[in-house]
Amino acid sequence: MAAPGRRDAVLRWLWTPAIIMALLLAIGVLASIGPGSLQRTVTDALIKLIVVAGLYIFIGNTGVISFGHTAFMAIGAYMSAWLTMTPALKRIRFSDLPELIATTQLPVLAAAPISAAAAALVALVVGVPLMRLSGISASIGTFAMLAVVVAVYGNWSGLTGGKSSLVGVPVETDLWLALLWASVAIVIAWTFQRSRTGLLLRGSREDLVAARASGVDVHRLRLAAFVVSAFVVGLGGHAYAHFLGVLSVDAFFLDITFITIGMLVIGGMNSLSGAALGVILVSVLLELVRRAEAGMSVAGIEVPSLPGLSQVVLAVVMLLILVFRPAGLMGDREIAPPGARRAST
Amino acid sequence: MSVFLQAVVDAASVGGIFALMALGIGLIFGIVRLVNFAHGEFVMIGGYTVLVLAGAPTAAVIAATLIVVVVLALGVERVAFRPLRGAAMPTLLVGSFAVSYFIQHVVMMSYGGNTVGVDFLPQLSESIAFGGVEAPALQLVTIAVTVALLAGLAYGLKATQFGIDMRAAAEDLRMARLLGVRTNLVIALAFAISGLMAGAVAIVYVAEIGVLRPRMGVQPALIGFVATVVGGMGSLLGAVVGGFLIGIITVVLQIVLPLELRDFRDAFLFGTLFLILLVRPQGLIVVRWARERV
Amino acid sequence: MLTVENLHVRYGSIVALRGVSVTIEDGEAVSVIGPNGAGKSTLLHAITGVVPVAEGSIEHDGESLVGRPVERIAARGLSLVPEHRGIFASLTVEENLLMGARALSGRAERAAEMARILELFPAIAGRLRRPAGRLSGGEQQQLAIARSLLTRPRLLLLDEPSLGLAPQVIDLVYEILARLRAEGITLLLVEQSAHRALAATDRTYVLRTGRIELSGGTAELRGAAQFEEAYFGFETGPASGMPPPRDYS
Repeated sequence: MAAPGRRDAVLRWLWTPAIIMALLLAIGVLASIGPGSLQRTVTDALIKLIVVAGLYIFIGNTGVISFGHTAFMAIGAYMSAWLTMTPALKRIRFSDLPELIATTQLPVLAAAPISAAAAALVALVVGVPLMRLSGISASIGTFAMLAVVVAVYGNWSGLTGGKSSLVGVPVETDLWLALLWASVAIVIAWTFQRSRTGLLLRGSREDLVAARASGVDVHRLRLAAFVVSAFVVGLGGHAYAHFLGVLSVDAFFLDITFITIGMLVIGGMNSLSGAALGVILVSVLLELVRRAEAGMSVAGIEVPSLPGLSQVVLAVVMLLILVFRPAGLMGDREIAPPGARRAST
Repeated sequence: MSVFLQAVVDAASVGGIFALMALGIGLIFGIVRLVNFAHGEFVMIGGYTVLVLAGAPTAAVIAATLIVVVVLALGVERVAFRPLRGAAMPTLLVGSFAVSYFIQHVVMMSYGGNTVGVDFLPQLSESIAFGGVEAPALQLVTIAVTVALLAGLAYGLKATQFGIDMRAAAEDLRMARLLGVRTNLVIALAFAISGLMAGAVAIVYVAEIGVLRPRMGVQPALIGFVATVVGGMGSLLGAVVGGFLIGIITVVLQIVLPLELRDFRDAFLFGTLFLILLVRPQGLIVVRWARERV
Repeated sequence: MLTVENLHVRYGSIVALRGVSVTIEDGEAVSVIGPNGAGKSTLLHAITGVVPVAEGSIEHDGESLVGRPVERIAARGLSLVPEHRGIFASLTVEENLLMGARALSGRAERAAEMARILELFPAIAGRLRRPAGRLSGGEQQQLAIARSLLTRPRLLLLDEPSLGLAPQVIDLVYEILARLRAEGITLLLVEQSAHRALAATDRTYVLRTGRIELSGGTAELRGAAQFEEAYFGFETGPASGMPPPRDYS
């Protein structure tokens, strides 16, 4: 009975990520037959999914909230921009770039793993001291890290254009490429959470003291989660850079941080299915509210334009979820194969 | 020598503001184990209150600002944080982040996202000379306000029953309740005092920088949080020490950094603090009972 | 004056108390004994409102305590001295006492009451300014009791006062309890040491794995064969072939 047992195990393992990716594919196919604006919206949402999946790898497995992960998005985005822009442009505008990067021009796809790796490297360096801090202190530390990255990237004109935007990034991230990267992110996230490291991390969350007493090196595990999550978020940054074609540091600060954390919290912090669900739901919600933001008439009543309404609504929805359903809409559950017992994460 | 004295005055004034921010944050953290991300927005709203009341007599503006911020703090506690009481740390953390973001954007909806100038107490920018030092009166006022609030708080915590209740509740809320301390009251008190601190910071901060924008509270709040982490989470003394330490480092960097690197001062500041935490992750002043909770 | 009836308390899926019923009359001293994990602390926590009640009733002077906030129950005169004392280590001894006396009005009344209570506790009377965390275990226990007494309790609940204390110190603590009992205080004592608890109280309940196995007056229970069985869960004594249990108290 060994062979069928093994096949069942593999199928059960594949089920959740496969369902999520199938769902994303369906959304992608539907969008592709729609107008260009819809495709752009869906592409943007898929890129956010990459970032949220990366965020989830850290938050979902360690239980520590990170407010600074969009720093890795910035690092990945700018690195990819630098690697793919023409050397002539770089020589003129970004004279502080190291020689190697300034003279190189890579195809966009080749830049992807390198940019993601750059983010992961920064995470490794910062993470060694950061992961030694207690939960709340670490969370504050991640926020400080983001502030530092934003300050450095925002002021170093020779590298990034400083306060003005960085233009000239080749635009190549379309719906299908975003879908590809999103699937890659899902697979990495799922593999991590079901790996020994992921399981040990989740197990030690309940009782840190017991975990340490059993010889579990929590610091190392958290660092691993931090680095892997940074890699994925960096990948999201890469995809984002080649979606926008223009980069400015402010795009990686408070707003994107809030939206990605909101998506994760609303969907379910401890579940990959929750992360995906959160991205889909919040994207739809924000789209709807943004239409309302422009002002409209409802049953003959003029509703004035209210810029910023979408963020306010998102904040309220987040708070309601936190009060009434703190584990998010999916709770701790994943999308389970039919007939299976409650799939635990 | 006078450069040194000047630096001391700078550090005391800047450090004072950071210490007050850290204290406001630490007070609430001590009792409710909540890191109040919205504390920066308390300061921001205080700033906008000054704007709204521009033209009114100074004493009225100050009083009104303090009242508005205290009421805001109490309101936020009642509406947003009380329903979250007893929730897990991540929930509290994200919840306060959502509240912070909410307030920022409500102001953005009302006033737009752009910077607004505000001219408050311009007479305080005049310099006062003493002992070989020339310092703007505002700096000295800031130092005086800081000292007054710190002394007042220290006295209140030590010598009044409310203060003893709060310190007991911070150490062991359950035991305090078993002795009859009313949870809602002691938490409201903590928020009210925290609001008072934020209001005071708002007044001197706005007088200092002269501009307002909806996100102006983010940076001071971040420094306040980092100050509590470096000073030692759970310790009020640590918060004050952390705040002044950051003030000192900021001024030292300001003096030491070459002109081209001045823009990166904050990056260097956090880098330095990072190194401190590398050596002492638990912070400078360790509070025993906070270790388990945190 | 306190009636607990059919009390069920759960921690998630773990049942801590199943159908526990206990009564205490004014002026009585009652103990609840049992092995570790029996649910003794849970019973005290349920009465004082620290843990929620799943089923059953708790009535004090006819009014239900179930679902009421901790501070309200405390205001009714139920004062708990918790396991591990519950001393505010960062406060001074005097400040700890002030936390007990906080409901008294006026500085004069507080000072008078504190002086009165401190006569019972000379060990701590001389250490008012010291941080309470620096007291020895026995001194902390006395401080905790003194603090509770300052609340002028109608019912004093003690959770394992002998825990972690040296025998002579336990003697001292129980002497104080005996004196309080003589003054007519109503006492609910939870203990692991059966021998001490029996000596200190009028009536005893034996609690094991969340259930009351046995109850009765002290004289009744002492020497009753079922007592040891109820407490230890097996028969002892010459007939059973097992050696009699040692008294480690």
